[in-house]
Amino acid sequence: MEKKVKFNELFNNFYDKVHRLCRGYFNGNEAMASDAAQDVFIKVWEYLDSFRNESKISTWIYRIAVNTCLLHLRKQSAKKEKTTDTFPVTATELYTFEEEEKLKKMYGCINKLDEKNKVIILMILEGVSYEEIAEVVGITEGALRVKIHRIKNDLTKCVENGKL
Amino acid sequence: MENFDDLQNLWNKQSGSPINTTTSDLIKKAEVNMKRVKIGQLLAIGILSILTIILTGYFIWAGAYRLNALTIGLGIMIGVIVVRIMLEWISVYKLKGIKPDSSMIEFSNRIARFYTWRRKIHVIFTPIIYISYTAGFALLLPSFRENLSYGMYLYVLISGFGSLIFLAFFIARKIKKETQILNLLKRIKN
Repeated sequence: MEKKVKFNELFNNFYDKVHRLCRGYFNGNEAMASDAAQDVFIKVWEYLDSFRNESKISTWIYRIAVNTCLLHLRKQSAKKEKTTDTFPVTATELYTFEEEEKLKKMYGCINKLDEKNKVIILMILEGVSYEEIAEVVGITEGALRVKIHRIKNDLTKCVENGKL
Repeated sequence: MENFDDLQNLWNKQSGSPINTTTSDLIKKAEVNMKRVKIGQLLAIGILSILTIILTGYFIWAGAYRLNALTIGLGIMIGVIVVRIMLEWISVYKLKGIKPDSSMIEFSNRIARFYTWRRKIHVIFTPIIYISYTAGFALLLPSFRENLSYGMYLYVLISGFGSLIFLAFFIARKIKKETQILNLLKRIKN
């Protein structure tokens, strides 16, 4: 019973964050993001008993989310599904045409980054702390800081001129 | 001129994500998933045990002095199936051992190692298993020719080699898929 209460709490606190991370990972594809986010929480339930408080629970969930998205990408790569030109429908109501175009470009540019940089920038955009990102990716905080500066520059330039 | 803060503001403006599931649904799915894995393992153990019993029983019954093309052919076919099932079983066990809560780099390295092992299976074991299985089947043919009607013999011959050709295509497709995955994982550099 206690496990269910804990799981409910985690679901309520993290589903949106995990879904947004997955959505960025899959170039804005809502359906793939929902599938992956559900898979993440299935794994959270399966592995919750093995969580030993060695890291923050949020770091633990982000690790599962990132690795699950990677596995989904693996399946997608095997199926040769393309996620180009996908864009979250929910976003369109809140943006001007110009902003919508820019957000599309932004998703496209994020998708051009390599897997590791993609995860880093998505977590930066979601406001995850550097310490947590370093733990999720498995690099030192120093190495992460060096990378972040470059990725931010690359992304900004890409949105501006379409090239990475 | 763009700057990252503009992009951050644009990102933040996105609406929340639609929730199209409930925690009880997810728990149910997780339980079904865990049950399926357990059943799969039990099934693999069951098939392996039955095949081993049949194989051992058959050879005890046949005795070494009665070894002929039929017993050797059957023995080879059953033997390579057992090896194949064991390899698949080891693969499932190895994949299950890769915990999803490790860091991205550790996780992708372990997954890449897993696919390297799968590649070894495809490059080394699969051809040996495939050739041995085909040879085993070929060894059975004279006995089929002797004991079956011509029509039935033709049916066995065509369907047997037909399935082997189909199997070759299936294996080739699987190898191609797994190689693509391995290449993708290799792009996640340390």
